[in-house]
Amino acid sequence: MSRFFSLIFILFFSCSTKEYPNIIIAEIPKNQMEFQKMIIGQLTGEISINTEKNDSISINSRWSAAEKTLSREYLKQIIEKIGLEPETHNYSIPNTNFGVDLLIEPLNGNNLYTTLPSTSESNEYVIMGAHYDTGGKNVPGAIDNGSGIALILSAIRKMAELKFRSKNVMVVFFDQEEEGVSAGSIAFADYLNKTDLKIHSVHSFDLIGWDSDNNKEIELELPSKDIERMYKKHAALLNIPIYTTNTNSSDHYSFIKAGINAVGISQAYGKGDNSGKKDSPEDRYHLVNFEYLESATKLAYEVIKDIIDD
Amino acid sequence: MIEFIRVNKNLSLTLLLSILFFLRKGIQYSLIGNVIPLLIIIGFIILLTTSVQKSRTAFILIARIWAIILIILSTIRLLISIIHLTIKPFDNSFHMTHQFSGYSIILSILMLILGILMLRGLSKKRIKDWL
Repeated sequence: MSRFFSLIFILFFSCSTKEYPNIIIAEIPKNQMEFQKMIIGQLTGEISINTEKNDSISINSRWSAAEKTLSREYLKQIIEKIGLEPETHNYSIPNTNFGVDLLIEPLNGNNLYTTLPSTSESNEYVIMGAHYDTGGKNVPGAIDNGSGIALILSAIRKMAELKFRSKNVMVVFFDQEEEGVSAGSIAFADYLNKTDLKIHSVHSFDLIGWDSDNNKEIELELPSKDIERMYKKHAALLNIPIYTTNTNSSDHYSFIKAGINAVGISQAYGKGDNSGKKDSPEDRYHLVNFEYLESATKLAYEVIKDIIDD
Repeated sequence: MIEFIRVNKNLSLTLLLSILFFLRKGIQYSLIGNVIPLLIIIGFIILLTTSVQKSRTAFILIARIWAIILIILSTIRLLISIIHLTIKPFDNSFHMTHQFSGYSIILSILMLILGILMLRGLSKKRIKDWL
């Protein structure tokens, strides 16, 4: 009996810590498409990343806790290179029902966010979000959702060059979208509602790198009338086909449920324009249509610029 | 209560460990907005501490129910772990995979052993009178 209790004691109080190598990002390309290629390449293991110890590592997937920690470290470095300050939002939320809660631990995760401040004093925020986790073991997640991350990072870099911004622009990379409950965005929406920040709108980008018919079409998911009008106006100016759906299976819906004006933006997924490789080890770098990603980035940039020009 | 602990050291320790485990879980969930697990464990603690002072039979019944709940929960966890490891892995969910493999399996086995030890310790022959 005493041996059994000793074993319990050791198991409960033993812990291990793992150190992650310090990532070094030498230079980021000025050209937008090259920048996006670098981000998706490095987030999917296609391009290795240098470390402080003069060796290189690869992020092959963003599924396990260790892989996501490494991905966040990488994204923090990119955010710093852009000239912004990365911050982590750690959260813990219950499972879907209390019966499950009795059996297992809560959903614990880490969102990563940064803010591009307005040029004049403002408490109003426009949020651009994308999940950074991948939907399975050994899934590189180039389109789902390296594409969303690359779009946001290149758009915010361009916005940082604007001389006037009436609103703050917040960028958030959500954890655990692929867990079936969009835990990261639920926790972040809850966090926002507890602050006194005034949220203009949340724009969530997911699956935005596939365009088999090269028509540059964009899907808007559950937009409010104002947001829909704005996207359609700029899409028309850029000659980009756009349509609206009631899709509620991604991060944008967490904000809508929390009473925040939000929209999901994606490739023409509802019309069947998808790679068929979602959540599989084949969702790799070479599947990404970078011309399409560039076009979607241009649209997102113009819409957000219009909002913060106001 | 003190007399019960003094004469039934091993049983007290198994009960205490299982209560602490679920109390931690209850506090953890109450801090993030779900108070039901905490209410359940507090309810059980109240029942247990009241019965231990008043009735030997009631205490044994309540503690046995607790031990059976522990065995059922750990068996469900172990069965899910076995399904995950041998039949159909939760490849899409890291959270579920993490909850039902490695360290979690050890935890389930420990919970099961605790439940069994408690049931054995609660037999009328083994339990020593404290009232």
